[in-house]
Amino acid sequence: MKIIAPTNNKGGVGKTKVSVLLAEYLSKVLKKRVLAIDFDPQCNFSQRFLQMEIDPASPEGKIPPLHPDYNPDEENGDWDGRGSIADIFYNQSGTIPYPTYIENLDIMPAHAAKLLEAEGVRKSEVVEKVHKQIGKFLESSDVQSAYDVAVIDTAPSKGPLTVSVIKAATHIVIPSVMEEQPIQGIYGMLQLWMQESFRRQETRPLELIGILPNMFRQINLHKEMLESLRANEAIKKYVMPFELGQRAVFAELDAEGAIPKTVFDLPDSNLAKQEAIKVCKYITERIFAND
Amino acid sequence: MTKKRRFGISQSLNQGFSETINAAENNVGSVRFEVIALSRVETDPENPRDLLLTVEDLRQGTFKNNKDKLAEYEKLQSLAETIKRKGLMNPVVVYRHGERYRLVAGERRFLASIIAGKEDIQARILATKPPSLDLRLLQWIENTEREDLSLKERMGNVKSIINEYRKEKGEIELTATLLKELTGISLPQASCYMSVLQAPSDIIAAIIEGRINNLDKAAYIAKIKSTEVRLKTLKACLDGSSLKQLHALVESEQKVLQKKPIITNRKQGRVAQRVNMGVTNKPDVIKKIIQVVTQQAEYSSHSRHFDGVDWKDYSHVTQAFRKFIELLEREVGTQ
Repeated sequence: MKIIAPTNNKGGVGKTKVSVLLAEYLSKVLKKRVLAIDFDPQCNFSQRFLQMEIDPASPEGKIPPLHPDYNPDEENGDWDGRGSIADIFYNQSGTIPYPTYIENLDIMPAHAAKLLEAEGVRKSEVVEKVHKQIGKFLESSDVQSAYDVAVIDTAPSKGPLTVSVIKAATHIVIPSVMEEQPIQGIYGMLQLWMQESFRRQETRPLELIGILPNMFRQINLHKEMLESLRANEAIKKYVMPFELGQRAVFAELDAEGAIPKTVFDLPDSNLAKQEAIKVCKYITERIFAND
Repeated sequence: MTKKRRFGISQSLNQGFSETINAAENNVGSVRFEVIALSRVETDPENPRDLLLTVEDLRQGTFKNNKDKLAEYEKLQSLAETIKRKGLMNPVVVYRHGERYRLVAGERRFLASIIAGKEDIQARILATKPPSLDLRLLQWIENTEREDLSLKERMGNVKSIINEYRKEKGEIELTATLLKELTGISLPQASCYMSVLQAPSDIIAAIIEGRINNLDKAAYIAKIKSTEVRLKTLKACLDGSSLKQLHALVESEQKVLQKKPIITNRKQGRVAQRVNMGVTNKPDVIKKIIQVVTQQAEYSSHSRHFDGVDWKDYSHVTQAFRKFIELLEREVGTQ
C-alpha cells in the first residue's frame, strides 16, 4: 500500500487542497481504492467529505458525525457511533472508515479534541504512543487488503502527529506558496525528511516527490522566488514542473452544496481542472513508478 | 524611481537547502536507531566476548561468587549510574536474529543498562549480521572513542582486525599504511601499533599485565634495539616516566654506549676493518653461543633457523654460525 502525505509546517499553503485533489484523482480518475485520513485537528479534510459536527464538550473542535452503519437501537458495546483516526491512539476497536460520495474513497475523519490530546503525551512516551501508531494502523492486514493508497492530510506543525505520518509515509509532497515564510517551512520539512531518511531501511525509503508551487500567481514575487529555488542545484530536481494557480474555483468547490463537488467533474476546458490533472498525474505517476 | 527589487531565497536558506538535501540523499538508513526491549537482546555466541560477566550472572546474582566477574561488575557501575541519570549517550549496534537481537557492539553499555534497571535500550539495527571483517571494524570504530580501554584491549582489537583481514584476503604482509586504510587511524598511530605488535616479549608481558597503557611509550620502547637500553627504559616507564623522560634516558644511554671504548690498545699497522671470529674444534661451543643468544626474547624468532643443524658435522655447524652472524649483523647493524 502506498501512503502519500502533503506536509508543510507553515499553515495555509494548501496541504488540504492537495490532499483533496489527490484523494479524488486517485479514486475517481485512477479507480484506486483510497483511504483518506485526516490528521489535522482543524478537520478541514474531513469536512470536505463529511458533515462534521460541533463538539459539545469543546466548542472550538469538531467531531465526526454518526457513522451511517450505526444503529442506536442495536447492541453496540461501548461504541458511541462515531469513529475517527484519533481512535488509534486509544486502542479502541471500531476505527471504521466512513464512505464518501466517491465509491472508491473512504475517509477516517479527524477528531479535534482527541487528536490534540493524543499529541499531548509525555515526551518519554511519544515514540511508542504517537510516532508509531499511524504506521501500525496502516500496516494492519485489514487496511492493507482494503486499500491501494492512503492519503493523509497533516497539521501545519512538526509535532508528534506530523512525525507519526512522516514515519508511516511512502511518499511526501511539500506544497508551498512562493513566499518567504512558506519557503522557510519547506526547509523545516526537508529537515524532517532528512532525519527520517537517516532512519529508514534502504529498501523502504521515504520518497520526496517534490515541492509543489501552490496558490501561484503571475506576480514577480512568486515568479522570482520559484526561479531562485530552481537555481539551487540540490533542490531543483525536487521542484515540481507544474504549479497550482490561485483560483477562486477551488474555494467555491469547498462550499456546502457545491455542484459539481469536485474539480474533476468540471468541463475539460476548465483551467483549474487542467492544472489539477497535470499535478495529480505527475504525483501519482511517481507514487506508482515501481509497480 | 526606485531600483526594481528582485525577490529570491536568502543565501543561508539556499545553503541550508543544499546541505539538507545532500545529507538526506547520501545517508539513507545511516542512523536507524530504535528502542528495543533489553530482554530481546543477547550477546552473539559466535563472537569472542570481552567480558566474563553474562546477562544470566546479572539476573541471578551469580557474579558475586566470582572475583573476576565481581570486578567487572564494579567497573560497570559508573556507566550504569550515567545511564540511570542521563540515559545512553551512544546507541548499541545489533542485528536481527529471529525474534531477538544480537549485539554487534556495545557489550558494556548493554550490561550496564541491565544494572541500571532499564527495560529497553536504544539500538542501531542492522538487517543482517555483518561479515566478520566489517564486524571487527565496527567494533573498532565503537571502541576508538572510548578512553577506558586498556592498551591490551586495543592491541586485541587490532589483532582481530588483522586476523579477519588475513582470513578474507590471505596472508598479506601487514604494513602501517594498510592498517591505516583499514581502520582510519593516522599513519603515525598505525605505525605505533605495528611496532607494538612486533615488540619483544618483555614489553608484551607488561602490556598484558596492564602495566603499560600508553601506545606511544610502548611503541617507543619496542623500537629500542639494544636489550640493555630497552630494559632500562622499560623499567623507567613502569616507574612512571613520561615519554619525554624516556627519550632523554635513551639518548644519554646511547651516548654512553658510543663512548665506551671497545678496543683499548690498538696496535700499529693497518687499521682493522673487521673482527676475526676465531676457530674451534668443539662445535658445542658454537651450539652454546647460538643457544644462549636465541634464548633472549628479542632474538628468539631466529631460533627456528637452527632447529635442523647437525651439531656433530663441522661444515654444517660452520654454515650455521655464518648464518647466525649474518642475522645478528642485520639486527645489530640497524641500531
